[in-house]
Amino acid sequence: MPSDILLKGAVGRYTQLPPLERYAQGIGNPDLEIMKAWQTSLGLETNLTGGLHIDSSIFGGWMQDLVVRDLEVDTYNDGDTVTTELQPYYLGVQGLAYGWEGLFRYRPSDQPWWGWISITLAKALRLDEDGRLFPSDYDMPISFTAVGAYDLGKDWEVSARVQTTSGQPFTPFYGVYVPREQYFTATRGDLNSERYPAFFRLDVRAQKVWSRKWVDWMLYLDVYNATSRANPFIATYNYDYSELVDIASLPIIPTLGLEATY
Amino acid sequence: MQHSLRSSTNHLWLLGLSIALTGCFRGLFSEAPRYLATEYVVDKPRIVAVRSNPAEMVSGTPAQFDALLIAPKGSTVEGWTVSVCGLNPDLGTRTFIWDLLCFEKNEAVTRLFTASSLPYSFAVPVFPEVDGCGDYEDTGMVDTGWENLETYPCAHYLPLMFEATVDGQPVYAAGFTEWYGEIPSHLERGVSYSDAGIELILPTTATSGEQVDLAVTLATDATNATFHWYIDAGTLKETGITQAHSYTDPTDDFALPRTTSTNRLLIPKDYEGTLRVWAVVHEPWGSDLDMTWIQGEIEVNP
Repeated sequence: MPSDILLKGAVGRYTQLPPLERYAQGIGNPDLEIMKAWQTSLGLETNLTGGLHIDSSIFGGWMQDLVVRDLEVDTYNDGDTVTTELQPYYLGVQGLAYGWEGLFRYRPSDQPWWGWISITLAKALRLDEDGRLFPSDYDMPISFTAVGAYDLGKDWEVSARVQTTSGQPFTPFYGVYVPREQYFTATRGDLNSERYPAFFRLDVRAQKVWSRKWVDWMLYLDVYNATSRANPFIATYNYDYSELVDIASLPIIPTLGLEATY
Repeated sequence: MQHSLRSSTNHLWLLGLSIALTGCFRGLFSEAPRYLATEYVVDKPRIVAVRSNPAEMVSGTPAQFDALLIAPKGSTVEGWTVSVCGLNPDLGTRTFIWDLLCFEKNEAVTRLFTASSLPYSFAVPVFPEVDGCGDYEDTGMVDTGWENLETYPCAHYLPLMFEATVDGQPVYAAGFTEWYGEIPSHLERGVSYSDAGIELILPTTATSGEQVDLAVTLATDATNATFHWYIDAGTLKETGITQAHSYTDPTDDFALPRTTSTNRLLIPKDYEGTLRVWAVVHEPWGSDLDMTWIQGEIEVNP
């Protein structure tokens, strides 16, 4: 290989116990096996003229006995009455993940700015014992992050980060109207067959550093989620299950700080 | 004084924390509850009423299901599927299923029919006579709403799921009813809501911005019923749910009692064309599938 190109690859076999609460008798599924995975990646890194660094890889993984949280209908028959109850249930599934990731760093020696872009295109699927193929909770087909910083001089620097990803999969519910009782209940759709809206966040930062005697000072202003976009991490449905309502998302969070290091 | 100052400082912290939490959980505070009484304008497909004839299922006998699906104009209903859960062909033990979770067990679901439209007639699947009917006194459940009832119905009580596909999207409604192994002698009921005559009184034409009177009359004693109203557009001054407003005993001219509920519709100033109005009568007791409805139209001119 040319000296400025690094070819890299890896193959690994990994095992891990499921979390205790997921296989413990009574609250979990004691039949769960140890989670196992084969993982592999192949990529290259290179530095091009002008300060551009490229790191590109393809990766894949085959996993067995992964633990997926589902809901199971428990039925109790006391000979006279059959009652049903929805209970958390953990099942072991197979998993497949594959994709490509690229990192592009640019740091020109003669310019007052630098930055990098990271892109990941990936799929993470699960296959259960019934042959159902569905997206993993962590399936994120597109992930994009860009970071940039600019040196204003006199020890002032401004920077920003943009991050956007595909929305997280979730299992939809469909409203079921019960006319007699005049209320809505729900029936579940296919596992992880819908997604939350795409995630987007812009963070910006300005900072100044200076030194006095044996103390290094840094004054900074961080603005987390500068566009105040609602990226729900908890959502529920409205009363008739026709709309998804986010009930928790982080707002814009500005932080002014002074840091001393000695 | 010092204690008071500290107390005020603590309150400021609480205020700050409250504001921060409000920011994090803004949806929790901004999403006001909505109720059926105010959701009467048809802006999405919904199955708002279901009924069967007869209201209860008997093994191997014919039955007919009907449902009222209301949807925005231009919507296309592509088909219907009706299923029951818990009806095992070998089911002998009397079974009560009170919720719909059962439908998540595919092996427990029996599809009764798939049809392009309702009403639809079909044959109830054959299942054995129900055992264990002698311990009615132990169940504590008495009132089924049927006349001449001397013993607890020797039947399963199972959920039904109505599924319609509207413009490619599923729309669901559910109901519960009794499933008899053989025709029980006590099923001698009076006039049910499904059987009773129903009339919707409304003007055939109106002008935009006008307020019009609506009335629905049922030819039976429905003084305990609730009346649900649905419209294409506008405001219902009595909300989407009303009660019986008047009751008339049978007379020489009209042999049946009559129950009437009224409403007032304010038509939007910018509305033109056909405005559909539905009234659904909910039976408060008795079978889930004993209900009736009617649709009317008002031609709205500018």
